[in-house]
This record gives sequence, structure tokens and C-alpha cells, in this order.
Amino acid sequence: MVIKMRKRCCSERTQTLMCIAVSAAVVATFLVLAVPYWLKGDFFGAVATGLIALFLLVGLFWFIKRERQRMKERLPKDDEMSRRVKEKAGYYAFLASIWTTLGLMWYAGTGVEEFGFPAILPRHVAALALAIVAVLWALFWAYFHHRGVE
Amino acid sequence: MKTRIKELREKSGLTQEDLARKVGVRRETVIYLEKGRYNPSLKLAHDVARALGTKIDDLFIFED
Repeated sequence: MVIKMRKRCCSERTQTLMCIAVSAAVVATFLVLAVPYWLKGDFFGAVATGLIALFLLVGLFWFIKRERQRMKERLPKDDEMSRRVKEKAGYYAFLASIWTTLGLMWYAGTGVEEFGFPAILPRHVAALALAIVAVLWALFWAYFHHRGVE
Repeated sequence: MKTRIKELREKSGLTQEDLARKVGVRRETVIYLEKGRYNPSLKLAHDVARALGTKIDDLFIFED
């Protein structure tokens, strides 16, 4: 059976290093964002941003440990199961993102006008929707990664 | 679905890592295959069967 392999843009090692570099940049950004909150005396904002950075940092260390082990074993970075888990997580995260967006639209419109909920800025709505989708994707990925794909 | 992958792998004297390397997947995938928690593609099933010197039919036990 002859299977044509998909061409990749770069080596797996480079891809992993790029992934680590981007994640490290995101962690650093969150840490930098925590400073103005702290200086303004917004303790909650600083702690929340710091906690996100810490959460991402723990994830980054876990990822690095896992990838080092994989490279040592000379096993591929991706295979059909890992791709299927990602696809499934993406599918459910997409569905959830539709409901999240609808929920946020309802909140920003009816919720604020009819029920007197605190107003929310449009840029915050967009950021919140993106963050929720990212978190949902990670949760779905962890779920399917743990449960397996049947 | 149950599988005989673990049994046949051990009989062949292969570790999960060896089998993973032979068929070009991650070790986790072999673990999930052995537990019957992953339905592989036809190609992967074929590769695993070949690596273990058996047929696809002998690898999987389908339950109604």
C-alpha cells in the first residue's frame, strides 16, 4: 500500500520550537499585562492576569516535557489519532462558539437594556468570545485525548 | 470493540514504543489502540497487523 505523505513546511523540531516560542511570548505578554494592573492598584486584574500566565506556563512546561520525551523516543509529533482528537475538539469548540456568541449578543443587547446587567464593551465581547472558544477547545481536546476517539 | 494487539505485541516481544516506531505513530496511540479506545484507519490497522505478523481480522474482536 503506497500512501503519499503530506509535505510539511518545516521539520518537526522546528515546528515544536516555534510552538514553544509562541507560547513563551504569550506567557510573557500576560505577565507584562499584569504590571499596569498592579501599578493602578487593580489587585484583582493583576492576579487574574498573573494566574492566566501561570496556567499557561504550567501547560508550556508540560508540553516541553512531553515533546522532549517524544523526541528521545524518536516518535512522530502528530499521527492520525492526535489529528482526529484535534479535529473533534475543533468541531465541538466551533459549535460551542456559536452558542457563546449568541449568548454574548443576548447579554450585550437584551441583558443590558432589559435586565440592567452591567454594560460590556464590544472589544471585551470579542476578547471574551475568543477566550471562551480557546478554553473550550482545550477542554474538549483534554476530554477526547483522555477518553479516546472511537 | 476489543483488540488482541497487546497480546500479540507481547508475544512478538515488542514494547509499545517499538510498535509505535514500526507503524509511525505516537506511543499514546498504541496505548489507546490496545485499550480499544481508538478506532484506527484501515491503513493503520493494516500496518499494525503487518508489524505483528498477522491479519487485520485477528487484531480486532467486534462485539454486537
